[in-house]
Amino acid sequence: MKYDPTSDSLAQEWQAQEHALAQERDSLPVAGEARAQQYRLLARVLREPMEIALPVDFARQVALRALRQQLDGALERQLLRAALWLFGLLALGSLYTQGASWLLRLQAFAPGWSGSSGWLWLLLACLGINWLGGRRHLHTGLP
Amino acid sequence: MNEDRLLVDAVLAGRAGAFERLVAQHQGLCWHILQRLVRHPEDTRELCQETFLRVFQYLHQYRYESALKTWIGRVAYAVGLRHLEKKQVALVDAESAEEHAELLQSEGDGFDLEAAWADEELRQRLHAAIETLPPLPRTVLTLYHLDELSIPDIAQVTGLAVGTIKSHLFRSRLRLREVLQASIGVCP
Repeated sequence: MKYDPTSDSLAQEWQAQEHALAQERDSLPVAGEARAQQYRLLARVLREPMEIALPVDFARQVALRALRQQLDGALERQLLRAALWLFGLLALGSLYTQGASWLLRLQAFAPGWSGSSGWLWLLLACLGINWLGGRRHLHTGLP
Repeated sequence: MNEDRLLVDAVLAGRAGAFERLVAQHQGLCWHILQRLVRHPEDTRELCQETFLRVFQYLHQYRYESALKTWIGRVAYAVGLRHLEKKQVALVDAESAEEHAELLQSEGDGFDLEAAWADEELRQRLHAAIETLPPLPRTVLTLYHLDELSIPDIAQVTGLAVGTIKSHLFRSRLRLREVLQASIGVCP
């Protein structure tokens, strides 16, 4: 049965339900036909408090757990950041010590690339890899 | 709303005891929603905890577009819904249009509200009837009657249209009145 306020009998029934609830909320004296009183009884029963079976210190427990998770997350992020810095430093170190030989190999592979344009291509390749990595993060929804 | 803002700001600023206060203020609503949905106290306890951990994690996304109570209710409802989906529990059941037609025509015979209220057995029967309602109407009834949320607020919590909420309220109360009529018939 769909709620249809245009139907007379349904609208009357809805009004009786709502009226009984309003009267019960305002603790008005009991009066009216049997239907109104029946809905008032239902409103009273539905307003009876439910037993909340949570531990007395539930709020404290959850707050502590949330804080612990936050601290764990922060530590994890800091470790990740430190690892990324270390990785970056190692990469720079490798570039410094091995970069010249890489450039020579690159020039052997593509003789047209020489001098500063070789470094430029290397930089563009790094930027391209970085951009692709960023796109992958966007697609996976990772922060 | 102003109290909400103060509390949320305190939690986001990491003030001692602020989140504990938030949980204490809203754990009743959270319990009502989840217990009405899943009807299993142990699961409800775990889901309440999950709800508040999510609230803590995503509180910075709360934009004050609704009361904090409604926003937390929505998180709890989403957590409960996912639990029911995993367990493949139906939220509503199909009812035929003619099911309550007779009752609509009847205004009922003489009824003594105070005598009925004093009848413990009758009240237990009505509580049992509420428990037999499907999860969604059961939750909507509790939010409306016990937590006194408005229909638009319930629509925000559940993501349902206002008309659908009214329909659930109407049919559930009619069904409970039917149980009441039948109980009066069998009671001495």
